[in-house]
Amino acid sequence: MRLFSSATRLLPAALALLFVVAIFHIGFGAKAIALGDIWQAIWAFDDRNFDHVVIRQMRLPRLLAAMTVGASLSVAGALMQGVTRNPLADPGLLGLLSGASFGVVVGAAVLGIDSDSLIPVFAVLGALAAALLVAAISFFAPGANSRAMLLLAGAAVSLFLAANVSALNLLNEEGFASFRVWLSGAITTDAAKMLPWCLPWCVIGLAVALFSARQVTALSMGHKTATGLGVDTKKLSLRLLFCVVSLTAASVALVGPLGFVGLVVPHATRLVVGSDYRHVIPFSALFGAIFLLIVDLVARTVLSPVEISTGVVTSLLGAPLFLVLIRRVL
Amino acid sequence: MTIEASICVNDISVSYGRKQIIDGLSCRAVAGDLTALVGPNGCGKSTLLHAIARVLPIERGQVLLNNIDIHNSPTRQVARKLALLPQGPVAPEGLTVHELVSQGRFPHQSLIRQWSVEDAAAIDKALKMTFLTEFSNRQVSTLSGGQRQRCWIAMVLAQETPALLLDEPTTFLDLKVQVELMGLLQRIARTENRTVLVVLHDLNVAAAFADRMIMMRDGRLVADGPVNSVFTAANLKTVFDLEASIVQDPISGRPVCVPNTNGFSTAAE
Repeated sequence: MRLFSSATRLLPAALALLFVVAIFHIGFGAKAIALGDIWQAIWAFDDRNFDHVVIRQMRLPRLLAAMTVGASLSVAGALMQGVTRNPLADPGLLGLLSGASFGVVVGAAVLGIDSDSLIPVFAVLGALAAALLVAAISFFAPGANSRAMLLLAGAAVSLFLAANVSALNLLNEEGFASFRVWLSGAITTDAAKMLPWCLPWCVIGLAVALFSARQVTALSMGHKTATGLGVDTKKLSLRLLFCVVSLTAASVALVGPLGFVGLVVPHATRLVVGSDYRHVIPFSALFGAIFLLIVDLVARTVLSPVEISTGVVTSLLGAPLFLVLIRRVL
Repeated sequence: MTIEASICVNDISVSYGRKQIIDGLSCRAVAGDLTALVGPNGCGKSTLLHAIARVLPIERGQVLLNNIDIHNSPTRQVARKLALLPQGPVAPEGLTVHELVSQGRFPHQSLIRQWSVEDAAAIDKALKMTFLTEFSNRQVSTLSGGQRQRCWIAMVLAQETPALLLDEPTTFLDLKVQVELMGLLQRIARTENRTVLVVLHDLNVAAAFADRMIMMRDGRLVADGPVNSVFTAANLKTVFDLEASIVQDPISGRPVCVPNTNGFSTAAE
């Protein structure tokens, strides 16, 4: 059953929901800010007004970071599920989150790179290495190319890289303190300074994903069918690999490894708009942004003034939600 | 459709890894005819179909579609002339019949030219020919095996190519459904003057509907020609190691293969 027969009719509703959630996201926090002040802070900024400064310098970057990461991880997951035709493929389970984290830790803690602009680059290299490793293992291992083999390879690479991250942190006590929060997947106000360096990777990744959507639908029917329809499957797979890597890596560089978003949001999206990727990709981006804004709002306000790490909330909410969804898919 | 096309396979060789599957094979399929490709399991018939459809690369020789070298042409351009239905395709969960069939329009569309009246007309026509119009908003996964296979055939029909390749489209279906599907493919070949090349498992279904037949064994061609001259007891013995008699169906005049079940049955020479 499909909830909406026409995905285009759903678009205004989804955008409206995103807008409302975004207003809540900006308004709530350690101090609630009235709607009128939010409006003024954006259109008539006054640097002597403390609320305006909070909105401009803390809440808006955080809003943008949460939306970007939610959209990026969801689209990365949707692409991975389409290309591998594996409902459990996602940046977390296939090792890309650990790969990107490993890249960042190596870059920052081991090589001592201090420049914010290079952090996403190290994340990209780490995620790419992890993706290639998982692909190579599942391709060359006995029983190759089965659904299970891909996930096992992902789990192995994921655990191996996570262990490496832990080892590096243990060897480097001071670095560990600064990575502790980040490694739990936290949207913090720190995101503001990383945002300019991470946003381009996400924007390019999302744009390529949107332009490739039609071909992803063809590829999700198998590479033979796709070839028959005139898709250059090798070129497309390569393009989508870089798309998935840059979306995942930039998200990790911004807020750390956030699990479950790339798994839960695409499945929920398919329940609503079906399996045509021309709808799955844009709506995964929208629903992912909405999902992460809600999660971040919960993380900030439930135990206020204490903030729970966003990654803890995504996992707490995502795991049971995922079990419900997967019953329908598997 | 007035565009005629014939597929000419000229002396091709194909390998999977280091293993050579097809070695110097030539054959052809012509417009207006339903051509059946038969042979024992593992003889390389699917490999041949994949090589023709450029899913597999060829090491030697060429595949010509109306004198155009398929393997050296832009893949999207080829897809406007040649459609492929692989064996046992699986539709993504949740895809509707209409969405699946509209995938056939992929090679005709681009970022600039997204959707047109011709696309809608081609999809409607494909749905009508496969008797799926009333199912168009149903999800593919909720349909029966025969209906599902009709959806896939509708997808390649919507591609509106002068040539169609199908890999065992009737395997695992009830005989009645097989007969319906083969009748549909025969109509497509004859009334629309398209080139239809089908890998088939069931010899009698192949003999009952095909106009031409290609027989393969161990990656080599054994026979290629009109059904009556290829579907012979001698060829069945060579290709399948099968002792069988060929009799004529009194109604259709088609050849029928009757396997000899014991040493005493006499072969009708």
